[in-house]
Amino acid sequence: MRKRIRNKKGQEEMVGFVLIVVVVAIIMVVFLGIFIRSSKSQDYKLQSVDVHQFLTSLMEYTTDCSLTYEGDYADMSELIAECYANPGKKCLSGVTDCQALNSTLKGILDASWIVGENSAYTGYVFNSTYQENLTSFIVKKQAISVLKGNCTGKSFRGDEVFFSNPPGKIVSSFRVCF
Amino acid sequence: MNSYCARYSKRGQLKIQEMAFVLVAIMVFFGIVILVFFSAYLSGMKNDVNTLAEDEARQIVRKIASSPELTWADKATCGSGACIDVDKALIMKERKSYADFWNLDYLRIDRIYPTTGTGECTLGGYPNCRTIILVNKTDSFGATSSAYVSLCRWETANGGYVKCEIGRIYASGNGIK
Repeated sequence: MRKRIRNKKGQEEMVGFVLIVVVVAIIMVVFLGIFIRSSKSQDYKLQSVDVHQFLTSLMEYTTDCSLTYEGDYADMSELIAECYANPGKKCLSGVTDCQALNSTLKGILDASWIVGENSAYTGYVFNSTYQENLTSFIVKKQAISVLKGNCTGKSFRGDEVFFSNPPGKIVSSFRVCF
Repeated sequence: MNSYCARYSKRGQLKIQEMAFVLVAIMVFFGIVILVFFSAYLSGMKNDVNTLAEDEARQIVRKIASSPELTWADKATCGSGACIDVDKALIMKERKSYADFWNLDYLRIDRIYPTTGTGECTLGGYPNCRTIILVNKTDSFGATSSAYVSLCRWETANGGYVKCEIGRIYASGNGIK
């Protein structure tokens, strides 16, 4: 009779032990799941100070396109806005605003970010988009896009800057891949 | 009755032992998985720390561009506040008394775009040049931190206008640690 009681006690302890292990395992799995999910959604990790500094300097660059009178040269942000609003408008030099924007932007990107086999970077993507918040949805229209190399992988750094272009804004983003 | 009880208890004990071993194995397995996971996570954190340190150094280097001795004063053409007045930089380069001004071993400004011109800049040679070395105290200045800046100047052609180009500033020394 005593042995039976002892066996029962041992079984009860075993059930308790099993319960504790199962509960601990479930807590671990839930914790890991939450942890992995939250680390995946941390987009700030992708932001790069270097890219941000590059974009702000890029927007201040004085282009060779003068749209009003000789000497009134547009900076990069003005030229992006002009290319979006009036794509065929000509600079005083004769080229259109979008042609001037394309050639200047490609020149700056090529000189600033060396891409290829001998470089740490495999490619880059530059995008400028006009965005307007309407009551029920957001209007997005692309102003210009420049892509070089391979930028399909998951390893990249990037950032975006925006400037006002009433009634909306123009958001310029740059992503460099490695 | 007694012998029956003894057989039953041995079986039960064996099963309990088996279960205990399995549970211990499960716990050890989970322990190893967690160890591997956290070691990977910590190595990722180390990378983050390095990136943050680099970013901080870049911000400090960029702040040099916004010091009154170098900055382009007109905020209408320089919204970011990180524009270097090239004329100021060229004058500072000539004045050796400014060598200790920033507590740096090395300070250089590169013209990134347009890509025309090579060599070191002088007062009369700009913009047909590439670099302005403001401080160079030692050959072993170590690794430099760098940041993109705008290089602005007054261009006299076509009635005169402000011309801003893309540049990069490099610095090394105690002043940015």
